[in-house]
Amino acid sequence: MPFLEGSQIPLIDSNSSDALVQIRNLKKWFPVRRSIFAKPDPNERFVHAVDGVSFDIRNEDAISIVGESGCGKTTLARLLLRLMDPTEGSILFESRNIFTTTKTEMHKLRAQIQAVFQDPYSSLDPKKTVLQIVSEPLEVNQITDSGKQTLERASSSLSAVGLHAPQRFLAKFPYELSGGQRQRVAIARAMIVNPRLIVADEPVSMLDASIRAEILNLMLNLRDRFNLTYVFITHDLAVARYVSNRMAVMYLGRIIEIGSAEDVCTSPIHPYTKALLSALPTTNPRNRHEGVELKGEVPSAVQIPTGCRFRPRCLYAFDRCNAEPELIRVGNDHYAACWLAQAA
Amino acid sequence: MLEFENLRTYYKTPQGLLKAVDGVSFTLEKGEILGLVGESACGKTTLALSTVRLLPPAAQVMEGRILLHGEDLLSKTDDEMKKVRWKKVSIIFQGALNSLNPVLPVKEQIAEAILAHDSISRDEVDKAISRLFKAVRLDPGRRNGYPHEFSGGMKQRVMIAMAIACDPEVVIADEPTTALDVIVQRQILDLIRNLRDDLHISMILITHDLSVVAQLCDKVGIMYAGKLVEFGDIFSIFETPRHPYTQALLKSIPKMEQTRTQLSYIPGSVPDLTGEVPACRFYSRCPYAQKLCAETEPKAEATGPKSHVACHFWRDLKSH
Amino acid sequence: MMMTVETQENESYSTSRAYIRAFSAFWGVYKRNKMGVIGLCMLIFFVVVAILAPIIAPYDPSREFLSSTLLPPSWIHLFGTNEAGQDLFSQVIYGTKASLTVGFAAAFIASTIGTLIGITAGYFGQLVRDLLMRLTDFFIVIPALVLMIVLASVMGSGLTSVVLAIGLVGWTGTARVVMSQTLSLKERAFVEASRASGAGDFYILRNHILPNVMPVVFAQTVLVVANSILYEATLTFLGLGNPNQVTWGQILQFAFVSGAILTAWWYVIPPGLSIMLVVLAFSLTGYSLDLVFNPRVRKI
Repeated sequence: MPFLEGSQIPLIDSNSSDALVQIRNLKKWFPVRRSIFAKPDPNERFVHAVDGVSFDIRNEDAISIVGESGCGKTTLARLLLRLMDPTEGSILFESRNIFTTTKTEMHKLRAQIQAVFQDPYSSLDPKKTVLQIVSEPLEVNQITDSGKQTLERASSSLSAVGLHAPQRFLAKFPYELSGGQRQRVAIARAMIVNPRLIVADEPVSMLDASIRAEILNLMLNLRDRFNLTYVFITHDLAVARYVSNRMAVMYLGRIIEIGSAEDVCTSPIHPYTKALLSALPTTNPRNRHEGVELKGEVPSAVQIPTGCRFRPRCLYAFDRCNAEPELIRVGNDHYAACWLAQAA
Repeated sequence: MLEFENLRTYYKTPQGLLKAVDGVSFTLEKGEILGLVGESACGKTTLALSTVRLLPPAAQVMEGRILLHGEDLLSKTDDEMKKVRWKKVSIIFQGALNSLNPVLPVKEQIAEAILAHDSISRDEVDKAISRLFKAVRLDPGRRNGYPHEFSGGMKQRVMIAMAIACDPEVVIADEPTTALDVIVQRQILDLIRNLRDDLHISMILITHDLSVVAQLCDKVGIMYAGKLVEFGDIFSIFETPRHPYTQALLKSIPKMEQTRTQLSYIPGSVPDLTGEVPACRFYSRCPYAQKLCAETEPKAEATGPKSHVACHFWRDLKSH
Repeated sequence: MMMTVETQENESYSTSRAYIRAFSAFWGVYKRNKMGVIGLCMLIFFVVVAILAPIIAPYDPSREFLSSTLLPPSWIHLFGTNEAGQDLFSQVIYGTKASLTVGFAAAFIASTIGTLIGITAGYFGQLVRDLLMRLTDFFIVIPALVLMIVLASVMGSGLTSVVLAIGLVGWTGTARVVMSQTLSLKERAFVEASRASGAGDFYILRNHILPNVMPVVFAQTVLVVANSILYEATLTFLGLGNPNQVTWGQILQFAFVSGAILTAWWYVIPPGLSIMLVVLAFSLTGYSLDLVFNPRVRKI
């Protein structure tokens, strides 16, 4: 495999302060502890769910974080939503660190970052009506004053997501709606506080194939109308390619390649990215290609391999790979963490 | 060699009779991998369970025949069926990753499957299990392990090993790769193809994922709301789809090979299959629906030697 | 399998209408269970008797017909009389009211305690859970009746003590069930979604956890009422009740104390049978509710 004329330019340029979200050296390690009463162990083992992630999310980006299960993308999403605190590192939203904000500021911040979850059924409280579900962010953040105002905002949010004649839906329970409708309600709930960033965790993987496009197109449409920024978490590369303009590939807690969706999908640099792309089943039966062979299985996130974490499975590993590579520039806004991409 | 003739399986529910499979006919040839595609509630799992006669008590086959080499499986007694299950037709159930007993070693569970259908010595069983492990590309040394020591992909290989343990002629795999990651899924699909090539097994692969079908199958059957709306070889289905549902389905899957074109989706949702159903099940979501479609059920018409479609207007529709 | 329920186009957005629809859906499922419907009818019968006691009862239960002591049933005294000449039919009727009231009150206390402990144990971390579960185990291990007797004796006899004794001891079943339900609920996506919207723990507990455990609590409570009525009967039979308050257990206690238990079958059978039937009614209803709310148990 030829070496590229790579430069040493790292991903993070400290002058990128116009980014909406700046993630710096983010780490989240979960202790593997048997019981809360067990003595703390100096040789304690950790699940390195997120293990040093740094990148920027620009205004009105639609960036996908892709990877297989256990790569840390879900944990990254939870950290972005401040559903947990990191072990190390920071996330800056509009230049403020979301983990060190005060309680009052947190309210405002929460309204800026909202979420859409994977399972449209279990992400809606089965005992609540659509009106109650959609207006919850207003109630929690004490935004509206009157029931009438709440009703108006809920109705307009439902219309915005394509549930026209919202009065038909306000009094329904989740079990009375189809999967696509439920996911629209979930999106309406996220939209009602006029967020700037929406984190969508596998928003279509539990929907039928024929209605996935419904939700994906809706999200793209909302992005144009309301100047939203999206972070999509998904394991489905085809969906990621369709819906995002930037893509970041995660492996064992780190981003190993990031760039425009086009570049990452058509000219992948990292061997793992290549393996992922070639493993995708084709949609053209005349074009059945061989999958790239990878060695072994995904190692456990407790025992991260030394050096480049992909080395044990990589067919192209060589001596430089016993040091962990950083993300370096391999193209115009395309970065990969692989020694093969650097000139010798 | 496995022929489905007008199969109707209905469920008794408090709301009425649910027509899960409602008149499905097609043929699986020897050595073929047939993909049965459909979205939720289309009846594909019910069809699979009807074939091995493992339907839940509320379900019943109302009509139809399933002919294996000319013998109707539905008319066999329970004892006769026991000889068919696993030895002639085996099944990998949906959610197979959770089908392994967590407190028994994997070897024991495969042994159980073998011994239930063949009376051979323990020694031979062990040899057979080693062979099976090798066939599914697992290290035979791990056969004494427990399910939790196996990853998702490995567990799926164990389930496949169990399914081929008695050398069946037909294997029905219900969503074998749904819960798996992309790379592992690819490995399993390649394994399935290799097994078909080496062991000459015929297979019905049930999935909702058209790209899995494109990667692996020789023939495709598209099911919608209990009906088989289109059937044919893989190339005709993908290149010249005839049924509006097939066309819409193909247009709604994102393809890596193309630059971004707007994906379309199918508005509405699957009709309620209890009680009154429109004559053509796809009527409420079909862009070409006419009055005739609501009144008369379209019959399957041949579009080629081994393909058919159930639509009144398939000749008039453009096939893209 | 996903099914979309079609409702009318011009549905107004009223939330109360939504709850009415939800209730009809629930009733549609519940009434499929014949035993449950029978249990419910029996329950309603007893509740009606309790409410209409002053109207139905022919006599004042404490009125003594001194010339008619220990008479077997007759048209004048449908269940006969006791050793003080009191009409047993009226006593049993008024006893219905007292026994049911005690049963409900005790069950209400037990359920409240159990629910609060359950959701706290289930929602907060492992330390809290371990502590509360050990507390629950402590109460489970000690024989309930013994504990109740001790409590009731300490608090002095009387129906209030009986109610408190049962309530303070009988919460363990509810606590366990609610804890396990809460544990699974707090992992559900809608709780996460609520947190992502900015909700704090108390908001989530009150608005999401509590409404979703209520079905289970309700089903449990019905069974707890059955048990409470039995415990009440036992405690008053043992003399811990108030002799001036007519409950079924109290009737039985007098029967025992006066020695009539061996000879006057009409003294013993009506209250005994009533206890049995009420407990049966609650059990059937509670079990059917459980079937409705816990679809995995359902066979249909």
